[in-house]
Amino acid sequence: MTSHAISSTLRLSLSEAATAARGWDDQHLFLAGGADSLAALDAVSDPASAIFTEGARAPAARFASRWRDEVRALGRRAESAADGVREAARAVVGADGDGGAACTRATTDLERLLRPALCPVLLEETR
Amino acid sequence: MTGALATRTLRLPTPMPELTGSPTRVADVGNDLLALSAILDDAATFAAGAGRCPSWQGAAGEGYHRLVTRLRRRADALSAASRDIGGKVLGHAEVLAALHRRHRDLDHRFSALVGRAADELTGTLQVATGAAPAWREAPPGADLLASLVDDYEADRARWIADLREAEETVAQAFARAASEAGREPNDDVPSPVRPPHVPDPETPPGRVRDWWSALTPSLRRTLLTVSPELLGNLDGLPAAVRDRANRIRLARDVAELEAIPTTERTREEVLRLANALAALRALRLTARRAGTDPATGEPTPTQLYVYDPDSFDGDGRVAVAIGDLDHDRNLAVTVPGLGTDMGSAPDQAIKAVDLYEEANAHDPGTTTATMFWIGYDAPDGSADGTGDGDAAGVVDDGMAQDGGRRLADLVDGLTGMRHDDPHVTVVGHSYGSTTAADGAALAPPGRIDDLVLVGSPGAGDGHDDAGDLGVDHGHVFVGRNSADPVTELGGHGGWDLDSLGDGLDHLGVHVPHGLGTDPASDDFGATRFQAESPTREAAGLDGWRQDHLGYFDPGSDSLANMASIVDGDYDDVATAPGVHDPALPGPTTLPSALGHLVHDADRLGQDADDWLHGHPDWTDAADLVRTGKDALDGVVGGPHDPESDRAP
Repeated sequence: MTSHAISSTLRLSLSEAATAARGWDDQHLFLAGGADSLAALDAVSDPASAIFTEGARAPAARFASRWRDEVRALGRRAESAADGVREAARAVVGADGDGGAACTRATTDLERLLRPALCPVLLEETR
Repeated sequence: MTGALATRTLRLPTPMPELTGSPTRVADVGNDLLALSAILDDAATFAAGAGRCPSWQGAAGEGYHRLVTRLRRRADALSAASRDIGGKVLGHAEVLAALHRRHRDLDHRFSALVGRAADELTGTLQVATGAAPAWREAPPGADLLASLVDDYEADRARWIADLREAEETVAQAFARAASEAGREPNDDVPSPVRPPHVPDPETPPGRVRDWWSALTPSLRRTLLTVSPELLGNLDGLPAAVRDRANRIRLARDVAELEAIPTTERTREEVLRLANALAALRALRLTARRAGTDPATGEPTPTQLYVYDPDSFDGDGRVAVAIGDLDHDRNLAVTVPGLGTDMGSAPDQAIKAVDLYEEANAHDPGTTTATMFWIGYDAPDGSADGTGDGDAAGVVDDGMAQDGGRRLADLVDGLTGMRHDDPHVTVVGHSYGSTTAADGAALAPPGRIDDLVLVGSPGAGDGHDDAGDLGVDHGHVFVGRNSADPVTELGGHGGWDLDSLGDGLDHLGVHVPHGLGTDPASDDFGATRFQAESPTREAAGLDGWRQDHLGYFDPGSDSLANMASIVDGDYDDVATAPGVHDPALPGPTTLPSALGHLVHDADRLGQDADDWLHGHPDWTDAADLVRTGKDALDGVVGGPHDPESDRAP
């Protein structure tokens, strides 16, 4: 595993970064999307739903709504982690010369990339 | 007469309150929460593993690590809480279902009591109007009605109290969970609550199959994500389900174990990771070699049918199939022998793929799946110097018998998960042939259609005839390379096999002996097929391994014949005339093979003597070498030139 450095304050393995960025993207999808796709839990959020008996309906709705918010917040943290890694990798790659600059542009074009690696450098390292 | 009417009081029952709420939908909520717990678990696992990005140093890296640590703790806490509240909601669904049942009963009782009260009122009115005789003035039913109404009212009150209690319990659980969600987590993670019920591993496969069929898609999804370890090896489940559960478990094992720094791993963790990686390699190798299905153009399916990296003191269990075990017409299970454990999975995968390709090429019109099964504790075949290792297992078929029981269960599960009747062939090699023979004898009748034994050191204790092996007459097949010395170990001739086994053991070459009758012997009653080595000659220590291990080689007679048997095309099997091969000298090739062994042992002994001459302290080692050589000499009558055994 090759570790790249652009200054004494930043060292980062690009293969690790690629794996982490893609993984955090996945976790973001799972958490944000997963919380919404759980149909039964979603239905409970509606106080008018008759899933629970009347005495339990309101607490269940409050809980479901709160829980979805919590999981979505966690998903946003995962997104932040992905962005952080990506930014750092971009800084490392950008400091590696013209090829790095090209990679940085490619990365910008794929700003919200979910699957592809950051750039050929990362692709090579992740093979 | 009418005065009595004025004193009559009729008590009427109180109607039941309306009951809303759906137990089924409440259970769906519980299952959703358990599924959410699995999603959160995955996030925590990723945060602890590949998401850590440990090489990232510097100020920004430190900030990132803090973010990831908080995220992991949060995911852990929310996962545990989701599991906790999910379990409670599932419990509430059961309580609510019981309340619904009681509500229906009470509603029926209410209707009946109203009807009875109407009858009483009608009777009383008829007496009052003279339309009925006077004895109806005080009908005995009035008292009974009052008593029944009292009972009903008491049960109704209890039901309402139980409903209130159930609502309060689940409402408090929701409120507590919602309140705790607002706190930043600490390391005190609540313990999980009961997982959803999964049948015991001893449950008959047919009942497991029916249980799974009855589950809702939501619950199946939940069980797969929450409890893959309970499903992956459960006989009776569809292979596709087991495959999915085992792959989830495998991915989690690799992620969790690789996240532990190398220097901090325990012995168990090291073994488990090695086994998990071996399973992963076998899966990848299988998928790569199997390629695409020429008929559909789709990748050939592979299925991780067994995955258990912890069993047998770290040897592990694994089985990988090529093809579709749930639907293919022909199923073949290969059973390897001496020295196999989970680390051997990639090697066994190659054999299974070769058999798959040969069988499907031979009969492309019929679907065939093959699977290698490393599912029993095979002797390890190595000299560990402790005297208490698995190697001792080669001297009898105790481990094979235990393996046979496990193989019988496996085949029972393979056939029990299907509604049709696939054609099942078990192929045992080496010590695995002894295991396969034991398994066939123990399997329920009709489960195994064909039994193939190749390179067999014996058919196991008590099996002196093919008829003892539990398959139909004519369906036990034996492949025996005449140059394969291991096949000489089955009891059928006058050789001093115990001395031979002991001699080889002393040389550090552990081979099975004392494993029963040679199934290729003329009077055993099996069908022997052509399985000779292409070179058709013994080649000494360097070659006997190949003579023993070459039965699955592409292009060999042995593989072609096994493929025909797996396809059920028995007319295409090239049979061999008994155990004696006329193309080779002598009644068997034992003198030739052992001549090479003795020749090599002599050479080893001379080399050892030369070396030991300068190391006088190693007298025990010198004795060991001489003992091994003497034992071999005793078997074949002294050292001689192996060239003299060759046919002109």
